[in-house]
Amino acid sequence: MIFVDLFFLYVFMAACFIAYFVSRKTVYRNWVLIVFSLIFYAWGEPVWVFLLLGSVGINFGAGLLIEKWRDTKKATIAMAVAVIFDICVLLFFKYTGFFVENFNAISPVDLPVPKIVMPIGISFFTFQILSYVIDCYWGTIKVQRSFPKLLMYISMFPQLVAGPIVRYSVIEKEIDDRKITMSDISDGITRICVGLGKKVILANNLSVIVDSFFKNGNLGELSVLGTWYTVIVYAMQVYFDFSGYSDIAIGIGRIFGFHFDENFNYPFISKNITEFWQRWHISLGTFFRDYVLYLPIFGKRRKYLNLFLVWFCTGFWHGASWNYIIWGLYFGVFILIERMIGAKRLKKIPLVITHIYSKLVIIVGFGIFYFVDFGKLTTFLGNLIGLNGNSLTDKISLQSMTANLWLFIACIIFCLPVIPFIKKKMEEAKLAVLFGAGQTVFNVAAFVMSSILLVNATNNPFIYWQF
Amino acid sequence: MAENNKNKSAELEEIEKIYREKQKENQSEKKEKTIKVSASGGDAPCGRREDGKKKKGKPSVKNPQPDKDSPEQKLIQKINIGVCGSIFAILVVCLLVLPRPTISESEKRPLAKFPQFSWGDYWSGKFTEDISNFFNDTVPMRDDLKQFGASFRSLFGFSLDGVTIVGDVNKVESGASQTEVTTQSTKPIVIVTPPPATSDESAPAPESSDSTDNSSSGETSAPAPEETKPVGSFMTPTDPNAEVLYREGNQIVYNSLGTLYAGVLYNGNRDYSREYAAAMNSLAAQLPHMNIYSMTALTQNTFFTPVELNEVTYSEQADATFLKNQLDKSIKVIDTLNVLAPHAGESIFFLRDCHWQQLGAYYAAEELARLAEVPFAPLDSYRKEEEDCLGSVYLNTQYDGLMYEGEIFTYYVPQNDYYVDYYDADMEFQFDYPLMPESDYRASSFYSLFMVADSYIKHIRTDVDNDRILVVLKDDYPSAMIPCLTSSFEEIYVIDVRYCNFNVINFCIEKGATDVFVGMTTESALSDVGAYLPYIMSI
Repeated sequence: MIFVDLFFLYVFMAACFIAYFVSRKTVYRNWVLIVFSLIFYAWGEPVWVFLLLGSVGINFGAGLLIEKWRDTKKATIAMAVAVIFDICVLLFFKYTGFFVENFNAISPVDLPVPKIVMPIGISFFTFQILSYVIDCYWGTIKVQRSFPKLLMYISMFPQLVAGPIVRYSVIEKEIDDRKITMSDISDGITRICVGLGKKVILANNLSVIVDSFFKNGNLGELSVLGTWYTVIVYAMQVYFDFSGYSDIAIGIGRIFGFHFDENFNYPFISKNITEFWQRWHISLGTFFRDYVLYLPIFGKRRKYLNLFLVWFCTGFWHGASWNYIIWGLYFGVFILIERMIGAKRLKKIPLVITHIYSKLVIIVGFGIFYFVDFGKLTTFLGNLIGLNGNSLTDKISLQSMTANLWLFIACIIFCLPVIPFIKKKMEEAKLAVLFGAGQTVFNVAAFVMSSILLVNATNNPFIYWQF
Repeated sequence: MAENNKNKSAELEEIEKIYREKQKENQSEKKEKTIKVSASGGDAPCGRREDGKKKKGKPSVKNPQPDKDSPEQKLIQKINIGVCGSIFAILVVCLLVLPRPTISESEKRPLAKFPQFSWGDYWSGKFTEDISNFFNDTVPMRDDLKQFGASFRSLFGFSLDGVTIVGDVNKVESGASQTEVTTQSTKPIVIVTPPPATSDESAPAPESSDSTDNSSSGETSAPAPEETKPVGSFMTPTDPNAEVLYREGNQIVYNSLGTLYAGVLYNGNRDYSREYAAAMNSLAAQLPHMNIYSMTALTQNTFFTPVELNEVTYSEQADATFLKNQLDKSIKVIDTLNVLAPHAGESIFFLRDCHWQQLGAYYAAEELARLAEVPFAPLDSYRKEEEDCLGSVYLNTQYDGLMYEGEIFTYYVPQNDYYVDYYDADMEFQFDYPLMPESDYRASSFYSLFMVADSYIKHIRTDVDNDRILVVLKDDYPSAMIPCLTSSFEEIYVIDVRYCNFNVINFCIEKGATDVFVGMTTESALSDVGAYLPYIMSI
């Protein structure tokens, strides 16, 4: 099941809210969440529920053993076993085919490439459970002694299949004691409506443009302008797609009384790549920073090699394909350069230059992210600077630009912190009620319009679903 | 000793306690630094600077307490919850209570049904997926909502080209404009009406003069072409100044010689030709006592679309000939080039839809009746009707330049008596319904006037008494021919090859068919649609 689906919105979510708020005690509410989360996960993949339960069970047991054997070698072994198990499960389901294909390519053997169905959201819940067991080992969180509560944390449907990667420490207290305030419900509603609007109204319609040029069109004949135009549209599509999903997840969490950390913070206003990754998919970036960046595996050269390890992992996490690895390392290189230049020197560079630099790197990066096929990736890169003999402009691209002009303007407004700025100004001018009324009208409009656009939606992809 | 150990253990516990408290403190410090949850704009507010420090004056509390909200804020929250919650509740009730449609007129298909439970389907995820599909597919007022959504999308921008085109060719009637095209063309379409044929068998093979025709000269394995009446010389239109205004996949909107056209570019694949021809020849071999007919119809691609816009190796016309040449001689071929070229000046195609007008279908049906040697009602015996319609290309692309370019859909209602039963793909009876349900007519789904939806199998019993039973195996294109055949056959079974779950060979024998007509566009025959034919012959 996905969030942007009429059945989810009007049947599942409605039923879940009713059951949740009818239950008065936290313990019952936790059970409501567990039951609905397992139904949510089993909706498309009933078999994988057992994998999820098994994975939670093993890590639950590991947590207890770590606690029991704290500060002994046995605790380290328990942690290591759980971590190795989690990583092996992820590698098996997500990367086996990739490994076999590459092994076949470099060796004379021709092993059959297994077609393993990947359980939805395995990358996300594996990372959550890894963070739990490692934090248990480090002692930064209390070990959860109740299996249902740990199961609720891992399986909670708002963040189960596409993040954000919620650390156990973030909701540790709220599992047992949470208060749902008027502010939570109101903010949650707003986040859901904003997220739906971003995903259905903006991202889905941007995806039509991307498909018509990159997927269905003749890439080799696309003009320079058309290529830049499409890749910029794609960058915005990915942003609205994923941040929309995160908004919905955070919003539903708020209504249930949970306060997940933010996953996006207007990434396109970044002045450099380091900042971009502090604003883009924050939960993944902080995961790698906290659990991989400081691994003592490269000795004295740790500073730089660990950086590349982080970016290799970031790329590889996104998919079993070389273009994702290149994409990760590509950003790693720019971040390394920025580190070598130093933050102080970077600040001295005029803003215009840093913004142009960061946008160019980010946008080209999204092109690398899009093209799994290396032939097409090469054509795309050639197109960007007219190396393929392609024209500077073409009529169809211009037509597409004008035909979607207002859509772009809306996208730009939502890419920039325009709404918080307006809110701040209106509050300063004592017009907070007016802003609130406008927000409510906007919420209703976004929700209703998104629902209408979801009627028989044939174009409703969810990019981060596959990861 | 034991006491010593006890003391040590207590000491360790104390150290551990201090360590955990320290960790806890660190943790809470960390939490303080996390980004505050935003409520207004989606992303987090820009409360965190690049260096990770918080801006002054911003509260760092992660979970805002209700007590700190001002009365004004509380009022805003109440309004938001009240209004949004009420609308959500109303929509939930509407979606659960209002009657759900069963047929989509705009898409010409039955909508999803609530699935029947089976453990196999459940474990494969199909059952739950089908429930979601049912809910999403059968939303009350779905066609209206879809239309509304399409109108909303048209607000995303404006069309430069649309502005210049509207006004020049607004509301051009189909057919009439074909003459205009011919007269306005800088390189006019040359349509030479074929001389009257003496007989089917005595005429020489057709010669295509299609400028892009690579024809089948290199294809040595093809059998000798069937002899048909001469078509004279036919030239596909050419317009070097044709301008593509919009394209989505193969759906294309273009301006040629001052007229706005919209259609689907031909994209047949010859790789499928052997499969289709083998299936047809096998059909003829397995049903030796029945008359077998084949029609791989030509579309606007041959008659309208300038060659400059086509991108395929072989033209539609060349592929139709290539395919025809591989068929067994016992199969009677309805050659739509021969049939339609003499009527090219009439309203036989839409300008902005991928189908033919019923008049074009009428001429093709007339040819079928002639080959079958059955009676055929003259055109003036039908009741002629005209309706506004909106082409399928607009519905699919939402190109706003087409929104105001309506066309006239002319259809002919047969006046003889006939009854139609509708069956599902397993030949289970569903309902009886008119052959052309005019009361359900909609401009946006005009082609579904012909027998509602392709997915139903139809059984038509007519007032003709000649013991001739026709089985039609088709895609959607020949649907407009069927009403014209009600004066020719006693019974007609209409089966869309894409929606058939039984063996059609057995079916034809079981129903005592005398004639089997396989009809689809050339592109369908040379695509995975054509590949359904061998499948339904071997189920």
